[in-house]
Amino acid sequence: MTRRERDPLVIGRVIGDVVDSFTRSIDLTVSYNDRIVSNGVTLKPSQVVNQPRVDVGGDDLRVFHTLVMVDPDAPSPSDPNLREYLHWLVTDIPATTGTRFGQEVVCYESPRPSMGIHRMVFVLFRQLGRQTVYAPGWRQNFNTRDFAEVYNLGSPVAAVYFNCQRETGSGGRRR
Amino acid sequence: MFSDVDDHANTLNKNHHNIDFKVSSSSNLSMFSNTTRTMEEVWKDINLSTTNNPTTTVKGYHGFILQDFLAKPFSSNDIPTSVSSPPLPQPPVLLTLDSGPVQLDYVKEDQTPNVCSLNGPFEQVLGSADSSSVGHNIGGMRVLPAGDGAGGDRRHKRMIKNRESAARSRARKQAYTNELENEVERLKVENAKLKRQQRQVVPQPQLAELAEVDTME
Repeated sequence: MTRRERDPLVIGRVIGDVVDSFTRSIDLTVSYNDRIVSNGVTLKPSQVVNQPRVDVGGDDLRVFHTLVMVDPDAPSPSDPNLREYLHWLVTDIPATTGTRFGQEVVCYESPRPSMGIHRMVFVLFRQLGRQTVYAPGWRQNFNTRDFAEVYNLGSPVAAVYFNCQRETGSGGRRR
Repeated sequence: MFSDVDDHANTLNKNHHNIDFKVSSSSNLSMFSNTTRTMEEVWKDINLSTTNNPTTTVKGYHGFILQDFLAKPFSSNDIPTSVSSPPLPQPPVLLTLDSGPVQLDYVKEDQTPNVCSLNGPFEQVLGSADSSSVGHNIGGMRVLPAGDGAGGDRRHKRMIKNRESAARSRARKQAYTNELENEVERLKVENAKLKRQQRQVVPQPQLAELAEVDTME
């Protein structure tokens, strides 16, 4: 048996459903209300109503990044026919800064899952240079892989995800 | 309502006399009493017998064979009338969701006419108010067309969905646990490194004291 998989992105099927395997090379810190998002934490819709603070690592202000936030489990993880639902798209984020310095191509839409427990995934790409990115016509059925290919973004440089279910959800437990 | 029963029974006899269905033989009863059949087994039998004899439905649809049987008239001479369905391998089993298989009274040659009209379509069989014991139990059971195994399919699909959901739940739990473990490890390493760095920059108080003691001697 191969070495037990330890990467949460693989176990949580983010690598697989949204992106392919990649090497992390840039720090990506996402925080909602001063609470840093670690892979696999569960946040309620009320906690993620407003866009998070996103800090990007690196060291060169002339290097630009694109951040994508998608829900691959829309409308329901058991039947994700709207995969992926695009919640946020920010481009031209200079290294060492954050999304507030970038271009918001698709504005932040707060997650409101109605059925099941959804993964909300942030993926960071490095741009070759400043570039114009066009917003898709609609949020549903977005494809991060295709998007990266169209805009020559290459493999992701960072990713993080959290779980989200409706406010009164029971955490998947009966009773 | 019950006056219609005999007429219909005669019709059944005429059309389907080639199908004999032994209802009240004791051998069947003993067969039945040997095992506690689960609902699934009974459903399977019903489905199998339907597929074996596709031409023997009287009402022109792959009706609910058990219901058809239950609605079968009780003729006075006690000869089992031909039923509009393919013969069941065992006596009819009346199923309820809570109590399991229950034997019908009239299988034991009870002449009580506790069956409802056969004239109408399938729904009438269910809807008959008079078949108190029978109707009650029918109502407690989910009715499905037995011909295409839809009951089993639905159950199967539900099971698969549940398995997938359980797998996602396990993955969620495992992913978060791994994340925490990784972070703990990372923090331990960073902590150790920072402590090392600090020792190099700032002399430790204890070491300084020992140095003083040494020099004093």
